[in-house]
Amino acid sequence: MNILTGYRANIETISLLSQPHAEASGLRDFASLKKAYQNYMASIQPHLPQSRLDDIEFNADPADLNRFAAAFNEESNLRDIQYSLMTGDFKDAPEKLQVMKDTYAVIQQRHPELGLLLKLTFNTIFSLPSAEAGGGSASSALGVLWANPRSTWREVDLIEFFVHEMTHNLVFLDERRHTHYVDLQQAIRKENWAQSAVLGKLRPIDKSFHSLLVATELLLFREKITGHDDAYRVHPPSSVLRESALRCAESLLTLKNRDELYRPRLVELAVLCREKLESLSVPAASATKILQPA
Amino acid sequence: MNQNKALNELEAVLGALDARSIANARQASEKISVQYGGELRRVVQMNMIAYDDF
Repeated sequence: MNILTGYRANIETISLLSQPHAEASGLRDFASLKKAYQNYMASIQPHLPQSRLDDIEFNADPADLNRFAAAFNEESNLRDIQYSLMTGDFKDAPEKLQVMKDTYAVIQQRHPELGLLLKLTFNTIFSLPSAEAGGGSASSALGVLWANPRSTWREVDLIEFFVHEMTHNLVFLDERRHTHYVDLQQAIRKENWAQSAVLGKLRPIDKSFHSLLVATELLLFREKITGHDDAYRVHPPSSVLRESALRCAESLLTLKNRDELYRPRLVELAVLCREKLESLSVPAASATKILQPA
Repeated sequence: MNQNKALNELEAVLGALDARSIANARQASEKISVQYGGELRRVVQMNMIAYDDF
């Protein structure tokens, strides 16, 4: 979202949502906005520990981790893939948090705009193990990043992980500003599922829509900053990701019941993704892996 | 964009917020809170399976 819709547009979304929670002196600068944003998060997520630091908190407190894990493990009838965070196993958390902290420092130094948006968007990063996933975001824990980085990930993969998860959070916030769906009850029905951009399988439209935005943002990030080197480990090579994302956009935009499912903002963003994807000049794939979940 | 420019842009956005947009965002956010917390139990978990794991 940072490159797709622009830094300014995302700051505006966070500011508009946070403004009613500002201190009496109003929103003047980063510090006052961060505080108002944390107040907003506390108001919509009273079940979670809320950091009050004016930077990202790297939280390894076992009591807090159990509460974050509960928010991430909460059941939902819109969940199509089961993941679980393992509570009670905190031994790797300090080392994995240090990896995230080091990568965050690199981003702040090399990509200050991205660093500032991360500093605003994420209030907390925590680490817990999981057999299935390398980390994630949840609508029940906005501003919170769960990181479970693999030892094989290189610096560029870790940076992509930040871009990936920040995009999820910014899409959730965009949804809170504009609304994206008419009726999500309809999204549970499989005839309303669409092909996802990262896993390449039929998924509920909210998952597919998020995957389209994540894939597009990653490709734009590579195009603008890191290049289309096809040795990435966290995400597919650019040519594979682009083709898969275009199929996802097509699938979402041609869904039979789309007018009963989508608000105009969702269509606007999906069309924008498709335009950006079509304009990319991505080299041909050298990788042979196909996008199918294990 | 360097950090000073990013901070300046942020402050420019803060200076340009208008009451109508704030009210609209607040109303939309409240609507979403109801959607997420209601019968649908919409906890959207966006987890990342690494490409290398396949």
